[in-house]
Amino acid sequence: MLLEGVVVLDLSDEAGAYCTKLLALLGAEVVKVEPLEGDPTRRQGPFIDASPRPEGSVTFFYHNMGKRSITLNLATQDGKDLFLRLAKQADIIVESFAPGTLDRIGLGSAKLLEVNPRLILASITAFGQDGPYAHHKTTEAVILAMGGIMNMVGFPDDPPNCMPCNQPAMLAGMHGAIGALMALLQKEETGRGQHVDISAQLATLLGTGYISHWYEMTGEVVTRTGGKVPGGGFGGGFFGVIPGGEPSLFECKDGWVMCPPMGGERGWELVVGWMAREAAADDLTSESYRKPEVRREKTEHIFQVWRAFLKTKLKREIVEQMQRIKVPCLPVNNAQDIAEDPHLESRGFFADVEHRASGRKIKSPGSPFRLFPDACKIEGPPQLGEHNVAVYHDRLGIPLDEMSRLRELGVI
Amino acid sequence: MNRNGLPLKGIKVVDLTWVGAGPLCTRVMAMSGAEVIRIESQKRIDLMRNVGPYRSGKAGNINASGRYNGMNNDKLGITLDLTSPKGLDLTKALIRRCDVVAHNFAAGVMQKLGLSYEDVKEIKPDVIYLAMTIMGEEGPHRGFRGFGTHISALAGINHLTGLPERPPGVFSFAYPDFTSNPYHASVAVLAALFHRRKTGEGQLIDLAQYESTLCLVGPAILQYTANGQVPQRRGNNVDYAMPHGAFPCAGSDRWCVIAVTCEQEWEGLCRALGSPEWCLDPKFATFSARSENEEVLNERLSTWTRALPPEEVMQLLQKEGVPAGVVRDFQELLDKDLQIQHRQFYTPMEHPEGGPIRYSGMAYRSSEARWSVEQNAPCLGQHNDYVFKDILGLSSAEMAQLKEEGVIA
Repeated sequence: MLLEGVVVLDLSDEAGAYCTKLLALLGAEVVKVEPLEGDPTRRQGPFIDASPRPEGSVTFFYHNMGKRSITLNLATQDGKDLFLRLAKQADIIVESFAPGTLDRIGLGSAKLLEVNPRLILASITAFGQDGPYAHHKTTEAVILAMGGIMNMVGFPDDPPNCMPCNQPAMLAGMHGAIGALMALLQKEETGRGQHVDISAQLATLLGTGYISHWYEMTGEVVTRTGGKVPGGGFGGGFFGVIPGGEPSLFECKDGWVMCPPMGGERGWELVVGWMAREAAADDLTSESYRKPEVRREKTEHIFQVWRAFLKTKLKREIVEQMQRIKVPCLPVNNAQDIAEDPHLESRGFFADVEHRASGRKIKSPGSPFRLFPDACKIEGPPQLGEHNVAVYHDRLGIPLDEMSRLRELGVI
Repeated sequence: MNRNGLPLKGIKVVDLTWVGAGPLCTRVMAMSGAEVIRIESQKRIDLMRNVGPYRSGKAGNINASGRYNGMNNDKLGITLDLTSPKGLDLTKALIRRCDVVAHNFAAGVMQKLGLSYEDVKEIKPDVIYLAMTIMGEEGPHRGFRGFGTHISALAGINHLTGLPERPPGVFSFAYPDFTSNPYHASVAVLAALFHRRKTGEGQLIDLAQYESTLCLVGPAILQYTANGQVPQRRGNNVDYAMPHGAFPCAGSDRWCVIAVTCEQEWEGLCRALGSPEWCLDPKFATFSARSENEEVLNERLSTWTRALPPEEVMQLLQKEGVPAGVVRDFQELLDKDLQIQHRQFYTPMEHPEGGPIRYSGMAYRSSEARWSVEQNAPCLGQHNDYVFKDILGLSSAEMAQLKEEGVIA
């Protein structure tokens, strides 16, 4: 595996979990260092089998696949000493405490890099380690707002919308993994570690692509457009008349599809042909509609007929038909559509992953990329403290009776 | 140009990507010190060169698009007709000396060009080959087309965004093009570079944009596969905070997000409001009481926020330890956000044809693993001389001949 032999200590909660999930997928040995009561994500619903238990959080399951878990109380001196021994053998440490927290408990970047000069410490926080907002209190919605995305999600008349599944954490996780891997590559050259400081606000802001240039070049502030992409898209326009970039959401029998404004002249012929075969083309087959100026004039009527027709069709039917005529129409999928998508099924995207607490195998999303000749590591998440013996005894050589003492003292 | 301190110095990338997701991935490499050679062609100009934004008077200039330029800084740009045999030979000559080949063509295109992974591996056995198709190279829907704005729908994001009684939430930008696809790809390429350094072995990275994007909502998919529940969009409601949402502020379409996640923060919020009497109402005393009286609570809170600019709402609440953040617009992000200025995220430059442009940086900082913005995005074919003569050793006569034949075009 690509990151075989790379040892990662993960002190983070949900904010850093996707970063270390990606490293684990690539084959790194990721050891979650959890407080005695466990990562707070373990207590976050929904739960597998709807039974709230620390091994059952769906979010925890997803974010911690393929990792190991040890418990460690960093508030104790013994705990700190143990952590420093682990840090000596680690390549990467990922943490997401509020800025300054590690320093306060004597485990700051200077100390960690002194103990292990080749170490990479990746800190993932809302705004970064310093600066005027570094100590702001945040949630995912706050970061989504401050990163510029929230203002551009939704319809013009609605308030700015949130997004599902803590996107700022996902984005910061990806950028954290990029930063950590850049540092790892650089360490191979220089022999020196470093402290990488990741800002979730900036990871979120990068998610808006070129919109910053829209403002700086045209002065227009893009907000909620209802799906219209500023500057439009490309192609000949839907039905040859509707300009690119127009909203492209259509309701159908079992949900919605997104049908971008493409297809041009040929698209018109093919779409009307389809409707005509189903006796739903109304007057659109008439010769006069062959002229773009007539279509432009009667856009509203055309869309009325089109929308009424789509309401009688299933998402799947519409998408297959439109893709056949090379219009990049795609369904608005829900979780069930995705979990049961024959395309993903045939690609073997999902994996049956063991949920140890219940003994169930759970069909889980696999890797964001496929590798060849290597493979990604797709395994279940760890139970709390599952690898205490493997890490403390086997790795650090701590005798078992010493481990019992540490357990009694509330260190592990 | 001193790029010696950058982490990817010495790495060479043949960049066949276009539009959004591909170029943003190779931009990460370019800003980190790699030599990225973008192969374009007059015959098939990157769509991004033909769409804005442009500065006034520049519309239609293929070298002036902010959309193209913002995604291609620090790269070299050449023009080459890949469909001609000589163009293919020259591409292969560049591939022989490179480390990474990247493309985001539709499935099957690279095979047709004679540049499939197998083809490339033959001439460069340890190549890291990144393919970023929409649906992947295999599977019944491998031929499906799509753009970033629609891939988010395919991957389940839109269904889960927006108000319950409204249509699926939509975005004013192509979310997957700027998130899951370029950056998952970057993670994989960097890991492959690390592996190659250790073992000498190359790698095929096959990223299906559908799969890469749905990974961003993995927990929602698991909620169905584990529990049989199909999660639905729920507006700005979350389980862990009340009040929670975007509250209207003074000004036109201005908002501030407020999230109260515990009693301590609720007390902070009351203090920030000047402890008005209604705050003490038992209707709002606990999380569940606030949830039950959400509508009244939101109305009270909105009355307060409506009178203040969003920046002030954020500052007053943050002072009392309450999570709050302005729903930033781009004027603020570029000109007013103190944190972004502190991080020196934007690098202002003057593009010779496009005019002033502020290039985005990366989300991380470090004393060592730096990125830097040093070169403007290339004008079409700007580095033809450098690449064909200095790198590939063609003579001026040979170049002229190839131009005449329409190979370098």
